[in-house]
Formats: sequence, C-alpha cells, structure tokens
Amino acid sequence: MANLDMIFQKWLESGKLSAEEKSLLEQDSVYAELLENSQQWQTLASEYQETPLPHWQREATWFEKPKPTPFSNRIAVWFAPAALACSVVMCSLVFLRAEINYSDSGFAISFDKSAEVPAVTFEQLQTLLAEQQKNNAEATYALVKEAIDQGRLERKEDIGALVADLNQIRKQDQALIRLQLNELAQQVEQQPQSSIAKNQIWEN
Amino acid sequence: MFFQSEKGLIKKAQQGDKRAWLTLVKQYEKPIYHSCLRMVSNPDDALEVMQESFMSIYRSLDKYRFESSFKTWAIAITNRRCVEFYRARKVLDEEKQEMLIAETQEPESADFMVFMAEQNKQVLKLLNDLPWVQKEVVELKFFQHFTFEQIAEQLGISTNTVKSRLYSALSKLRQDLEVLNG
Repeated sequence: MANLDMIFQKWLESGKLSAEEKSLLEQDSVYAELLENSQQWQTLASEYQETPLPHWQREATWFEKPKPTPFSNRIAVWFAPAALACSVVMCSLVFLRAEINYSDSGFAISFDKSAEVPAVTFEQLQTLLAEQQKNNAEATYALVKEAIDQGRLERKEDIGALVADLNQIRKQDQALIRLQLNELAQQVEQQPQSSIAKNQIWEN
Repeated sequence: MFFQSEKGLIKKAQQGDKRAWLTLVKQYEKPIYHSCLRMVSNPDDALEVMQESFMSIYRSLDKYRFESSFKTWAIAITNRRCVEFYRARKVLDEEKQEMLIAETQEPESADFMVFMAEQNKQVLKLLNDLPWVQKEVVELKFFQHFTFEQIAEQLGISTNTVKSRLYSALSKLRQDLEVLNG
C-alpha cells in the first residue's frame, strides 16, 4: 500500500508515471479510482476557460500608502523625555550647588548645603527651563503634525472605499431595474392590443 | 521602452507608481478573478473578493521579496481573502444563508450567463458541492498546480492533511459526476 501511495503521489506531483507504475495503480481498485478521478479533475482544469471579466474599478485597488515615519520624528519622540531628564539633573546640580572634583583616582560630586543659593542661579534655572519648554513644544508640534497627516490619509482611504461601495450598489440597482424593465416589456408584449389600448391589466 | 519586465513593474509599484500597479492588476486580474469565482461560486462575490485581494496585495507589496513567482504570492493572498469571505458568510443568519445557497446553486443572473463559458459551469458545480477545506486543496492542486508542500505551507497544515483532504475530494468526484450527468 505504501508503495502505491508513493506512486500515486508521484503522479500527482509530476504528472508522470512509467507503464509499470501505472499498471500497478490500475490493479488496485482504490488507487485506480483515485487515479481516474484525478485525471478527470486535470481534464476539467485544462478545459476551464478564463473568460473576460465583468467591468470593475481597477483604480479602487490603488491608494496612497502611509509614508514611513521620518528619522527626525523618531528622534523627536525620544529626544523630548531625554532632554527633560537631563534638564532635571542639571537643575538639581545647579540648585544644590554641586561641585565636581577631579583627581587621579576619578571624580567626586559634593553638595554645598551651607551656602545660600545666589540670585544668578535662578536666572540660569529660568534659562534652562525656557530652553526645555521650547524643545518640548517643537517635539509636540512634530508629533501633532504626524498625527494630522495620518488622519488625513486614513480619511482619504475611507472615502475611496465608500465611493467603491456606492458604485457597486449603483451597479446592482441598475441590473435590478434592467431585469424589471425586461419583465415588464415581456408582460406588455404578451397582452392583446385591445387591453393596451384600454390601459387595462390583462390576465390570462 | 514600451514593454517593462514584471520585476520592473513590481519595483515601480512598490515605490507607489500607480500606472505600474494598474498594469500589474491588468496582467493578473483574470487568473485571480477565476480563482475567486471557483472558490466562492458566485460572479458578484468573486468580483468583490478579487477587489479586496488586490487591495491586500498592494498593501503587502513592500513585503514581496521576489522569492517566489508574483502569481504564487498573489494567489496565496487571494486564498486568504477567500477564506475570510467564507468565514464571514458562515456567520450570516440562517435565512440569508439559504438565500445565498440558492444563488450559488442556480446562478441565473444576466451577467453570469454572459461571462461564464459553458464548460466552466460543470467545474463550478462540482467545486461547489465539495466542503470548503477540500475545495481549496483541489483549487490549489489542479488549477494552481502547487506541490503538496506549497499547499501545506499556504494553508498552515501538514502535507498529510493536504493529501487526506485531496483524496476525500477525489473519492467524492465519481458520485458527483454521476449525479451531474443524470
């Protein structure tokens, strides 16, 4: 059985068999039927005609694809939180009057808690905060712009799909009206002339 | 240059060239439409599934890496859309389903008669009588000429399952032909 199965599989994959292999299959009632039926399917497939298509909207299959997010925007997404974190660290260092001391063994950070914070420190802080706000605003602008572009594109795709659907419905309606008109024409043709003249509905 | 290679057309379409894409659609609309028709058995549904298939193909075009022929790749996507269509149809309520079955069994619309060759009707009838899982294997084996391995990969099943589905479909053919020929 295993051999017959392999032979039949070989025929299905390649369509070729030696005379000996073919006679082996034909001697077995099950495989003989399978072979005959698959030959029948092959004939049906080869005789199948790819007739012309009905009219359809090829253009509806094309749409503007969303462009990949630009590298600058991807940086902006990461830049804003990173800049904020750096600003907080810098502000903390300034506010706490941190001193960085370098030596041969490394560096050390010390905080002068005794001294009062001079006025100039607050000015620095204000400048840093202003820069930070500016950076945040730029990053937010880039993100909002991207979101608006994306929304616009999606709306365009939706409208395209809606137009395709409406065209399809219109075609179906037209086909229905055509059929109804044909039916009506047939009814009128079958009526006697006298009924048409009197504008009466004739029933046979 | 008047004629472009298929590879050139695909590359242009990948870059968003509308004309190249529409040329590709024209080249493949017939085999894809008829594949859909054989699977869904109704010309209007086939047109709808074909349109959805082409939209999916265009959406995934950037992922096409020329590893298989474009037709093989496109047919695989079309087959997935047909499966989705079949599943969507399955959830219709009973009344609607009866209507659809009536439509597919006796397709008599004017469009159908115009566009359907006489010899194709028998194929559609035989395919329509097969369960869905057997029908898709017959379509891919005899009409698309895929190997068992390719079919198994496309359908996400083992080659043994593919073979068993095909053998069941083949066993059913004799009875169906007898019924069809009276």
